[in-house]
Amino acid sequence: MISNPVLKVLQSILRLITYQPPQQPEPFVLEEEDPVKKTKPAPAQQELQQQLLHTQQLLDYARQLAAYIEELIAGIRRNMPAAELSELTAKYDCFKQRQLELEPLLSAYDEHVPNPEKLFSTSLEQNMKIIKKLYNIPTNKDPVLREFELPAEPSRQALLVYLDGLVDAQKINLAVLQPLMLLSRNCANGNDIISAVMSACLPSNQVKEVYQFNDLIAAVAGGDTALIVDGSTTTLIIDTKGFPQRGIERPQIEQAIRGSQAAFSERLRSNTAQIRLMLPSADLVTEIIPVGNQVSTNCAIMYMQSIASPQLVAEIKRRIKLIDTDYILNTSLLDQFLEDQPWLPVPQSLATERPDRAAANLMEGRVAIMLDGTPFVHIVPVTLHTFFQTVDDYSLSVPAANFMRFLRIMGAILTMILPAAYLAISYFHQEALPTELVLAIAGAREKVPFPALIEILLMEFSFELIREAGVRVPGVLGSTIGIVGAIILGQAAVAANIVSPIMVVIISITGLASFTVADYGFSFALRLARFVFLFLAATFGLVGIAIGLLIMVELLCYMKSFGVPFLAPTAPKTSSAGHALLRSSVFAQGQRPDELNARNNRRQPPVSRQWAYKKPRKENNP
Amino acid sequence: MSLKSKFPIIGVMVMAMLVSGCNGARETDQVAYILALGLDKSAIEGKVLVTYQIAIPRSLGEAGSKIGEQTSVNVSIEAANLAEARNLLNTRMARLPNLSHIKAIIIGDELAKKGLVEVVGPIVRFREFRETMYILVVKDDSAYNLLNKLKPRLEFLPTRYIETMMLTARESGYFRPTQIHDFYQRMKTGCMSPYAALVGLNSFDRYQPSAQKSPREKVDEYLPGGVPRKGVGNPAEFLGTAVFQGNKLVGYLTNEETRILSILQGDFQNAYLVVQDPLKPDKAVNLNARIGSPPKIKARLANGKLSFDVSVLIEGEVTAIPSGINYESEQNRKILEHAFAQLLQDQANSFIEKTKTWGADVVGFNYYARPFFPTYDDFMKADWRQLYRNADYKVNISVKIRRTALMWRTTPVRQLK
Amino acid sequence: MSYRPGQMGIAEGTALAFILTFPRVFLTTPVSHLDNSATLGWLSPLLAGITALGIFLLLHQATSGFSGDIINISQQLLGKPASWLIVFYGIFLFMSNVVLLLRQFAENTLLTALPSVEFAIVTLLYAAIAAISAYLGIEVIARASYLILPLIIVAILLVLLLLYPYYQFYNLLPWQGNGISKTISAGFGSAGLEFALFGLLVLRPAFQNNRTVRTSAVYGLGASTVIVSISILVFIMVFGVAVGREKVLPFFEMSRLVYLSRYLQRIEALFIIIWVVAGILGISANLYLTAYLFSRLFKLPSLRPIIPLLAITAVELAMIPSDVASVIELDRYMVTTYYRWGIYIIPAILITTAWFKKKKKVDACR
Repeated sequence: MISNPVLKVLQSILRLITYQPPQQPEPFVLEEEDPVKKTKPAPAQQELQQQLLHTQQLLDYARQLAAYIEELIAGIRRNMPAAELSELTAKYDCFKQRQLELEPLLSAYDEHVPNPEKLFSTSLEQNMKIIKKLYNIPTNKDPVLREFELPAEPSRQALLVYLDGLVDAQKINLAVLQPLMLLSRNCANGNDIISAVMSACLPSNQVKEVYQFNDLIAAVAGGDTALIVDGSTTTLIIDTKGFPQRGIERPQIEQAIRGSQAAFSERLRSNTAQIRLMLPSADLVTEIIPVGNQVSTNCAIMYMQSIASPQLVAEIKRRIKLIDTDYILNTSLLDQFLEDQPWLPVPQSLATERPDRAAANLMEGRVAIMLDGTPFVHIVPVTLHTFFQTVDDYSLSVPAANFMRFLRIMGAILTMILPAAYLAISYFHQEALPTELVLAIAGAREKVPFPALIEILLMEFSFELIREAGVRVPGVLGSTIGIVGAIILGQAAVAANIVSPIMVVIISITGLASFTVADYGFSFALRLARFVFLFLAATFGLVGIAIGLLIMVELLCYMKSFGVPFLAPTAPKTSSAGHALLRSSVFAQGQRPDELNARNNRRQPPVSRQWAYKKPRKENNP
Repeated sequence: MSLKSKFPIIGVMVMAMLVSGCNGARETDQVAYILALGLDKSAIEGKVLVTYQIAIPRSLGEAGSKIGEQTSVNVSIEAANLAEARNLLNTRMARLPNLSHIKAIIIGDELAKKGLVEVVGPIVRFREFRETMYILVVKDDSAYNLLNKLKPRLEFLPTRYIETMMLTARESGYFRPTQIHDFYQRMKTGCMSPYAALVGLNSFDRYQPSAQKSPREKVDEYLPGGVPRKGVGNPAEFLGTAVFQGNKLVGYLTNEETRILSILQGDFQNAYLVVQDPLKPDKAVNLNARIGSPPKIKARLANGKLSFDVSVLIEGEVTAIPSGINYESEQNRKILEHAFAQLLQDQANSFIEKTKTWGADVVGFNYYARPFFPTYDDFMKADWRQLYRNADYKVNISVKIRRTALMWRTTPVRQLK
Repeated sequence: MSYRPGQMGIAEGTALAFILTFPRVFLTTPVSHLDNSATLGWLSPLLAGITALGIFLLLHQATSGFSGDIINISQQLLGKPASWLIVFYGIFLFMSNVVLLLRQFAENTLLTALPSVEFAIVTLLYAAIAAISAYLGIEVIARASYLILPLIIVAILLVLLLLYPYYQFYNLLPWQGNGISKTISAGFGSAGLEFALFGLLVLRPAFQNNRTVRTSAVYGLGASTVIVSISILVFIMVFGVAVGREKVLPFFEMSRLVYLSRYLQRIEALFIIIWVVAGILGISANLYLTAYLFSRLFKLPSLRPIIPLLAITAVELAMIPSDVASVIELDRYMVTTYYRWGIYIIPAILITTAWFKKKKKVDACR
């Protein structure tokens, strides 16, 4: 560049007047991975055949070796003559030779086995390498690899693997490291150091042996500690769980005035324990099936062996086992994998947070499904009636309970139908109302600038907004927002002539009614149905509502929950045994729900209040 | 189901919402609610004067609507028939008329005399009209005048007034609640005469008893418009019955005759009867009476002539004995009961005579004669007007005084000399 | 066979028999009873019901030894060609019933509930809903009917009760109506109204056993007949014969007339729901039967795909008549001709052949 002043001035002027892109960093863009890179080039035919040949060679060798070992063992058992022994020794040399030959093949094969499926090798270094690779150490900071020396004769290197935060440090210090470092000198002599350590040096309540990296990862992820000893292909898993855990708290959603006050929490084991405490019987079976391919979670199903239909249990297990997905977060998601009709909004299982409710249902022959990490237990199969029941129903007297049930049923019907019925009548069937009422409605709507449909949708929308806001806003504020929203908004809307007072009344009743519905999922279904009914009513009036009701009833008749008709015991008609929509006295409920086809359908004899038929015996008779 | 496959459903829903207007959905502010319908003979030949009474919803919707605020307007149209009137109504009113809230059909005197066949037919056929509407006839006046002058003080809506009137008719028995259903049925069968409640306008300066008093009667008989009243206010008067033959008005029944009609039809709930004191003719005795057992009407057929035995039991409670005679005593009570029975019997006989001259079976004696006809065809062939005129009627009304109100012994006022 | 329905019990069967024979009470049929027998109009549905039930039970008894549905039975009794004829006739009956009910219920809707809606839309809507119901299967139709059955009955009885201020018992006189012999012949003649009851025999394999079919026919048809008869009785009492004969929709008129006080009146709108539901269920049950017979006739592996076709055909057919009066006339004509033959002649043939076969068997045993 020529640096003459004129040019410099010109350049600076040029720099002033021309646009210069500002200095800013490149924005971050999440790039797709190159699909070409991802797909492995298919191995050539020849290479495949080569691999097949190698594998066959290895297999042959392994078979021969196994046969040789068997022969050897048999020989030693019967104290074979020296001639035979020398023959075998020769054979041994031969094998050694071949092994050296096959070494490269073996390591190549080893390369192809994915790390988690590998068995532990005798070399601690090798094992550590694999573990570091598996856990992405040192990027990943959670896993802790603690190396130390086992003071056995001869002393050996050992390694503890655990995840920081999931283990109880106290336990590791006192129950693992201390005994191993101090005591193993005395006990851990001889060849089988692992079993020696396990039987004499580990004062931990649960210790088990594993042989594969897979198992190590699963155990460590659950808060256990793995002990790997140099020279041994067996790894010990020691129970050192110490992760933070929520205690048993009061139920948040299904509150009962007189029922038990315990709720499920996140940990599977504490939940199964709670149910087991409610049903202290050997009959109660807990089966655990892991779900999820990439990250597997434990799913437990519980049922009463002598009550639940074996066919039902088998079907549930079949469905759970045949789920092919990477990871399942909670029971509700699991439920969606299991449902019979996932396209209907009606819940097809009962989610409960109450151990007593779960226990009562198990005793009727249902099955509980739970997943580690979810404080809800899902009960299957269910019928429509289930969603009208609460625990308090059973602590109240029969008339009181049935009154509450009736209220809830009316609430459900109102939630669905009321706005639609109002719309239908005010749009199409004005002759159906008393004259004064029609005139009152018409008078109230005189100044409202919207059609009734928009008015209703507006109000519904604001109501749903208030409701959603109440849920999202934390704690105490939630209810405040509800009240403020409802009262002030309603008042102001009426004052501003945006909605008519009658509409506010209708929407408020609908809203209140929807809160009486006992099940959260069910109330959602009803709210959705309400909008469908609203549209039907806006188009065809009461004819539309009739059509909606018909289709709804038909769909409910069509539905099944794990093979049980959803409207049983009403349609199809079976014996209701006193616990359908309304309930009978407890002592009159002689049978379990018929539709569950329980193994043992009778729960008590027809006369369960035996004392009523027996003479009271007089004590202290002279 | 994927989200994509739900789009058609959502689309149909939105469309359904948009086309809802085409299905006949009406906002309440698009509709005018008609409360009453008045029908009169028009001055123009071949036309009817149709008066619609239309509610003003605005005045009823708000919480603090004031007394005296106008709640309805009247629109009158002269048209060839009801359908044309409705069309013409649409030309001057923005809102669509809705007839399903009509409470009463009011018919002017002249039109009723001309015949109602063109009027009642469409009313029964068209779905917005209900057969439970009341039918009223205005005596000596037009429905137009009645609807314009009807200004009830207690009720917000004039039709509410009419409806309440009709529902409380049983309290006096002076007029009968008559619905289109009954009217039309009687008109169609042809063997009974339709009747309608009679209403009139009082001019506040007339005293016009309609008939001579019989010796036992102590009170006047009236037709609407003839009751002596004072002061200003609602001029409407519900009194008596308009009797039709076929579809034409043939005459009126006074209030007392209407009460006999109520008694003979067994629909007499509560009313005060007044009779001349049998022992002291210048005084009267009052009885709060009601029907004791439904009337027993026995029909007999002999030589093509019908005869009817009617027996009714009226029971009641004495409410006033101004003469001070101890009618509570066994003997006197008999005398008093007889006097009442005689009064009613006389009235009943004259009532039957009156209807005979019209040949109008108002009570429905016809029902009781039906068993004499084997088949429906035979029954329809009979000439009922003639049969009704020629039949014999034996009315036997007995009165039983059950209670004597709060007194059980009457003593005369002591006259100190 | 995927169109083999499941196992239905007495509850479902009763509801099915009811919903197959009942919906016409909401139409003009009661008026035609009035036409035939005047004041004795309430007797003719009773007679028709008893006759139909008798024939049904006879046929059921005669064929109870045979397995399968009516097609298998007639094949065993009469051979293939004749059984085809019978199935064709059955298809004709059920399909025409679908068409007639569809048209009349759509017309009803226009007359009563939605006066300004487009007729085609209502027809299409009803057909679509009926098709969906039929698609969900006969079990669903039967169970939904069973759930709605008490509502229908209670609602109807409620209307009839609330009309008590209008009861005029003397309207039932003269008690012979148009003459007893005329009434009896009209009663037997209108047995064709109940032909749809034979749908139970068509679907016999769907029921738990033969006794279920018998019991549900007795209960279902019995209830429907008695209620029809009672409502005609009340209709005559309230409207009389002269006025009653003029009406198109007796039930609607009755519910309109309810007027007990200033507050308890104007209830007919609520009954729209009842008759729409009953009507659509009736249509869909008939539609399902048509589809079932079709699929049996042509040995189709599944009946679901032809349901939309049948529904569209029914809509097209239903729109052919130009006015209501001619539809009502056509309905009467069908009842007194084809339906009547369907209920008398075909069962007669089947019963006699079954009887002969049985006799032969007994003879052979000797």
